[in-house]
Amino acid sequence: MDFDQNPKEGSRNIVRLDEAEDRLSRQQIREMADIYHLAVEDLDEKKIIHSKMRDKKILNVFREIRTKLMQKVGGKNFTLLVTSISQGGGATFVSTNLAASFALDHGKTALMVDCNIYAPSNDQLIDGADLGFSDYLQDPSISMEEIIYATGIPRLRLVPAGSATDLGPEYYTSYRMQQFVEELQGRYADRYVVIDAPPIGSTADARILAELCDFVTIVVPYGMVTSEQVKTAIESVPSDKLVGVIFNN
Amino acid sequence: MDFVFILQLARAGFRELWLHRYAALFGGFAIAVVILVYGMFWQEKYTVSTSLYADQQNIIAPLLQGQAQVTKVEDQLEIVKDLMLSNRILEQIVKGEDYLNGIEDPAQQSSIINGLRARVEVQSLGKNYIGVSFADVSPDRAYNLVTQLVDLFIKESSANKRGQSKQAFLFIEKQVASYKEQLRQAEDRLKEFNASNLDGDEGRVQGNIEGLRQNIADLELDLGQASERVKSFESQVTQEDRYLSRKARSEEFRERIAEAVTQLDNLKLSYTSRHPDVIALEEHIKALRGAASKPVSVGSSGDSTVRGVENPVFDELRGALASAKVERDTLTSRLTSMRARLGEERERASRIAERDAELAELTRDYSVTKGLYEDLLNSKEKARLSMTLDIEGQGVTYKIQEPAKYPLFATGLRFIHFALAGILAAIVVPIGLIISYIFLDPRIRFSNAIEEQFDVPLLGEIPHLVSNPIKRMRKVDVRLFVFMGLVCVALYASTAAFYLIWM
Repeated sequence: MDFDQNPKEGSRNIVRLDEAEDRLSRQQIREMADIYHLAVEDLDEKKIIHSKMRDKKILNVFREIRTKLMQKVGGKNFTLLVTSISQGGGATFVSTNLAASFALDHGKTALMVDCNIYAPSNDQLIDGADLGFSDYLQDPSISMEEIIYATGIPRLRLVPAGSATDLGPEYYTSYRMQQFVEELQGRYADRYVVIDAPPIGSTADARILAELCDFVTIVVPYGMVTSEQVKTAIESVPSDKLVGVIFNN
Repeated sequence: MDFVFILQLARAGFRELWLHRYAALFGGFAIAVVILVYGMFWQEKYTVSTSLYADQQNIIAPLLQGQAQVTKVEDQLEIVKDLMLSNRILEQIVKGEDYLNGIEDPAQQSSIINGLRARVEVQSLGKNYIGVSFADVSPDRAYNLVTQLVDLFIKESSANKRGQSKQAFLFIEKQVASYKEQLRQAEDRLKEFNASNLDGDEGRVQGNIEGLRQNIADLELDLGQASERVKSFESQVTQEDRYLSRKARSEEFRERIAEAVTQLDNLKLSYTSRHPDVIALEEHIKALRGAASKPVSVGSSGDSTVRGVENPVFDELRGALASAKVERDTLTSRLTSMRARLGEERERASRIAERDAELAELTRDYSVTKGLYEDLLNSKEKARLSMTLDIEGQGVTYKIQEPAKYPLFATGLRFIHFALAGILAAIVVPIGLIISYIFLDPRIRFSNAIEEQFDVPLLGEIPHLVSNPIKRMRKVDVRLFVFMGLVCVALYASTAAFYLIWM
C-alpha cells in the first residue's frame, strides 16, 4: 500500500488540512487500489512504463528525462505541461509515462491532468469516470477530490478530461482554474503534476495553460511536422518555461 | 555522412518502407513485371565473327624493297571497310538472302543495304588482323552473311588490286610517252639553236677585243712618235736653209778678224801700239767687226757668192721628212681600221650574251624534262613489277584466319538478364524512392535535426514502443505481407520459368 507523504514545511493550518486530506485519500486509495490493480500485462498493453518491463530502453529514456527535469528545479515539485505540435503527436503517451516515471520513485507521487478535452484519451487508464477536469471548471459545486482518480499504478493519480466538451479557452483563464493548478501542486511537496494539453499548433489552449504551469515541454512526433511548425511552437511558448523538446518515435 | 546518420537513415527508411509496404510491394512487382514483359519481347541476337589475316610478309616484299610498292595493312582497315561494305558486295548478299522479301523499290532496297552496312562491324584486331562480326536475331542469317561477305571480299579484293595496279602501270606508261615526246622537242630546239650560232663563244671574242685594244694602244704610241718626227724634220728643213747663208758671211768675217788679230798680235810683239801699222791694223779689225755685225741685205752685192753653194744636208733632210710623213699616214689609216674592228667585236660580244641567255633556257628545259623522264621510266618499271606481283598473287593477300562458327548461343542481353534485372529493380527502386522521399520530405525524422536547428535542449528521444495488441496485429500484418510477397515472387518466378522453358 502506498501513501502520499506529508509535506514537511507549511503553516499549522495547512498541516491540519493535509492530515484530513491524507486520511481521506488513504481511504480512497485503499478502496481504489482494491478495484484497480493493473497487472504487468495490462501496463504493457496500455504502453505505460513500469519497473519490471522487459524493454529497459524506453524505461531509461523516461527516467533520464525525469532526472533532467528534477535537476532543473533542484528537487522541488513542479507543474509540467506536455503538448504536442500536432494531433496524434503522442503528448498523452509522453505525459502519462512521464507521470508514471515520477511515480516509480517511492518518495514521490504524480498527478496527471488530462486537459485535452476535445480528444480525451485517458479513458484507457480508468473506466467509468463520470466527472473530470472540465466538469470541475464548469460546476463550482464539484470538489477537487471528486475528480482525482487512482489509476491502478502506484503513486499515480489522474484527473480525466471530463464530459463537458464545449469548454472554451476563457475557462482556462478563470480564477478557479488558476486556483485548481496551484492547489494541485501546492498541496503536497512531493507531488509532481503533469498536464496533458491539446496540441500547441492547433488551438490556443496549450498557450493559455502554459501560463499556469512551471515548465513546458513540446513533443515532436516522428515524420509529422516540419521545422517551420516546430519553430512556431517553440516561439509561442515563453522561453523561461520551455525546458526542452522530446522527440517521439 | 557518418555512420550514425546512415544508421538513422536505414532505420527511418525501414520504417517508411513498412508504412508503405503494400505500395512498395506492388510497385516493385509492377516494375519487375514490366521489365519481364519487355524481356519477353526482346529479340535475342546471335553474333558471328571471323578474322582475316592480311598477308604482306611474303618473300617477295623484302626483295623488292623500294622497287615495287607493296600495299600495307596498317592503312588497309579503311580500304577493307570500303570494299567489304561496298554496294556491289552487299547487293549480291541481299539478293541471295531473304532480306528483300520481294521488295522492288530501289529506295527501300538501298535503305535495307544501308541498315545492313551499319550493322556489320569491321575492326582492326592488331597487326595484320582484321575482324568482321555481325549480329542478327536469326543465327542462320548471321552465319550466312558473314561467310558470304568474307568470301566475296577476298575475291573482289584480289581482282580489285590487280585492276588497280594495271591501271597505275598504264597511267605511268602514258606519262612516259608524253615526256619522251617533250624531251625530243627540247633536244631539237637545242640543236637548232646551236646550228644557227656562228658568233663563236664569248671567250674568243673577249680575247679578240683585248688584242685589238693592245694593238690600238701600240699604234697610237707609234703614231705619236711619227708625228713628232715629221714635225722635227719640218723645222730642221726650214732652219737648215736659213742657217747656211748666214754662216758663210760670218765665217768669212771671223776668219779675216782672227787673221788680223794674229797679225796684230805679231806686230805688237815687235812694235808699240803707236806704230802706224798697228794702228792701221786695229782700224781694219774695227771695220771688220763692224761689217760682221751688220745684217745681211739680200740681193746685196756681197752675198751672191754664198747663195749659189749646193747644201747636201738640206736634201737629205727633205728626203727623211718625206719618208716620215708616209709612215705617219700609214699608221693613221691602220689605227682607223683597228678601231672599226674593235667596234665590231664589241657588237658581237653583246650578241653572244643574248644568245647565251637563250641557250641557258633551252638547256634548262632539256635537263628538267630529261630528269622527269628518267624518274618516270623508273616508276614505270616499278609499276610493271607491282602489276606482275598482283597478277601472280604475290602482293598483299587476305586469308581467313579464323573461320566463322555457327552461333549456338545468343550474345548480349537475353531474357534471363531481364528477369534478374526485374528482381533487382523491384528491390532497388522502392528503396531508392523511399530514401529520396525521406530526403525530400521537410518533416522532421531525425532528433538531431531539432538540436541542430533550434536553440532548445532535446530532453530525450523516445524509441518506438509497440504495445502487445499492436504486436499481435503486426504479426498478422507481417504474415499477410510475407504471404503477399511470396505470391508475387511465385507469380514472377513461374512466369519467367515458363517463358524460359517453353518459349
